[in-house]
Amino acid sequence: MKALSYWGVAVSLMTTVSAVALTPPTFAQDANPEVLAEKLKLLELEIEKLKQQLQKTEQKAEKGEKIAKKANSKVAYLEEKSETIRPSSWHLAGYADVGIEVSNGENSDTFTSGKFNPAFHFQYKDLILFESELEISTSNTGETEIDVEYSQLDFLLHDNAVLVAGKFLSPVGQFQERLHPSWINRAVNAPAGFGHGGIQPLSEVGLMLRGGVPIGNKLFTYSVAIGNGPRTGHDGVELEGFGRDDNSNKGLSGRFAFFPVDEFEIGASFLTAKVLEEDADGESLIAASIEGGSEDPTNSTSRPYNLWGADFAYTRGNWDIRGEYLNAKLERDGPNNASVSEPINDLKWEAWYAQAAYRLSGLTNSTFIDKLEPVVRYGRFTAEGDHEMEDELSEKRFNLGLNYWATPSVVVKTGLEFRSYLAEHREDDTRLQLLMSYGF
Amino acid sequence: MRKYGKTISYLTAVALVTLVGLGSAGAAQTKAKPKKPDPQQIARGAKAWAKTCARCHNMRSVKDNSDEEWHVDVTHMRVRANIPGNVARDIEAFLRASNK
Ligand code: HEC
Repeated sequence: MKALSYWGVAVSLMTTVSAVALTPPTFAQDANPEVLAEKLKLLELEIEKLKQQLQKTEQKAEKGEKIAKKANSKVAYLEEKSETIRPSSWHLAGYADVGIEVSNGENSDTFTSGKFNPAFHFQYKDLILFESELEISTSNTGETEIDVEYSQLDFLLHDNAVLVAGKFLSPVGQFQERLHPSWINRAVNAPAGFGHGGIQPLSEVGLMLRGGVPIGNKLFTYSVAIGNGPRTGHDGVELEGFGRDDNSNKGLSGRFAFFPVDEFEIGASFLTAKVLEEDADGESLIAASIEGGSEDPTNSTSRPYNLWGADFAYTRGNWDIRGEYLNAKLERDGPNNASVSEPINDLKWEAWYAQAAYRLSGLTNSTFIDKLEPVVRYGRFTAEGDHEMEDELSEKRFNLGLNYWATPSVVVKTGLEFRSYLAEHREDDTRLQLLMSYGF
Repeated sequence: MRKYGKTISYLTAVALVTLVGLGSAGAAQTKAKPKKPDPQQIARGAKAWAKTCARCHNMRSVKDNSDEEWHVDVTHMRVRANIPGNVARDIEAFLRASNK
């Protein structure tokens, strides 16, 4: 027992001694009050800094909370305000325009059209959309004309596929399907070779599958249609949707497009079909010079008609730049033509245009200048294989224009058009154009 | 007879495609559009609207249309411009959140 407590005393003594020996003599430093005060000051500063930081953090947290509250109340507000969408909903849209054209050529000065295009859209849930647009206009001779531009059922099959059935605008190229309404088109009229009487197909009656598919972060789009196809008519090949097919060959057409960057789209289109040599009246139009051609329309030979095209669009900021090319060919060589002494050429058509528009918004402080948009377009349309047709169609068209956009879809367009016909006996003409259009 | 055969096969094809279409559209319907406005979807929609809706024509004001009109109109544009369905739903959510 005793021995143990001696040991205990010894150990505790040793620890005390070593502790004292190892600890530096603090009193030696603290003894200087100036240094101490300095240190205290530094500490106080540090504490002040920390306090400020804390305050900032608190303020930030408060702000965050406020933002969150705002977002929540906005969501609640939207929830309250958001109309319930009825299963069957609809929208009435369309456009109307009126214009004046002054020409120094064969045409007399005239007020043009005054078109009214009402468009109806009815949607049932997320299953089906019915869309139809009529074109109501006054003909040159004063009659009211009503055309069905399109009347189609769109089945929303899948996020990347819509099935369209009925009469629809042709998916070939970009002008007809996307730009032709006068509140969209930045020029006063259609480029040469496009629109009515041109070689861009206008519409089709049949079925079309279309959609957009993202590949990585790029968008690829497709539209493929099968329909009654074009027919022969008084102007050669009529590229419109017909209510019935006059031959059992269906027309196949479509467009594929790709966006290398968001602002730039490139597209490629095609149409392949067969048309009868004779029109509905039994008149042979394609091989007019064939003697002894078959009289019976049901016996008439079908000729291959093929078209291809390419287009691009660049839309960024104030710029809107587009271009389009179409190439079509009707083969006339065939069994019926074997007996003819003079060779019958294939009919060929080519049309292209390039257009640039620049909106002057944001350049000055003037709200008037903000709404102006100069536009320039050049295009060329040529036909080959039949002299009469060549003379009638072939032309170069140069347009200069200035648009005033009162609202995004109310526009006053002014333009100067220089038409230069390729036929030698036809005089060139210059036209001054004015068009007002309202898309609603 | 051959002619009728061809017509019948066209009709059958159309009927089949339509039926399959309606069936799958019906299936898609159940997952469509969340009822509550979703801030993230609205943000996605704003971005998609900015990069999609001025490609062909001037951008219309978001306040031009009611919810129901935008609903129908965006579907119309989805078809015309080949916009993927999910992107169209985002754009619709944005337009409906911004027209108030
Ligand atoms: C591929 C070209 C294209 C794109 C992209 C496009 N539109 Fe359109 N838009 C059109 C055409 C063409 C019309 C005219 C339709 C008609 O008259 O047949 C139109 C018409 C409209 C109209 C008028 C009402 C109507 O439906 O006719 C509104 C509103 C509209 N678009 C909004 C939008 C919105 C919102 C987007 C983006 C989701 C969009 N557009 C993207 C081509 C386009």
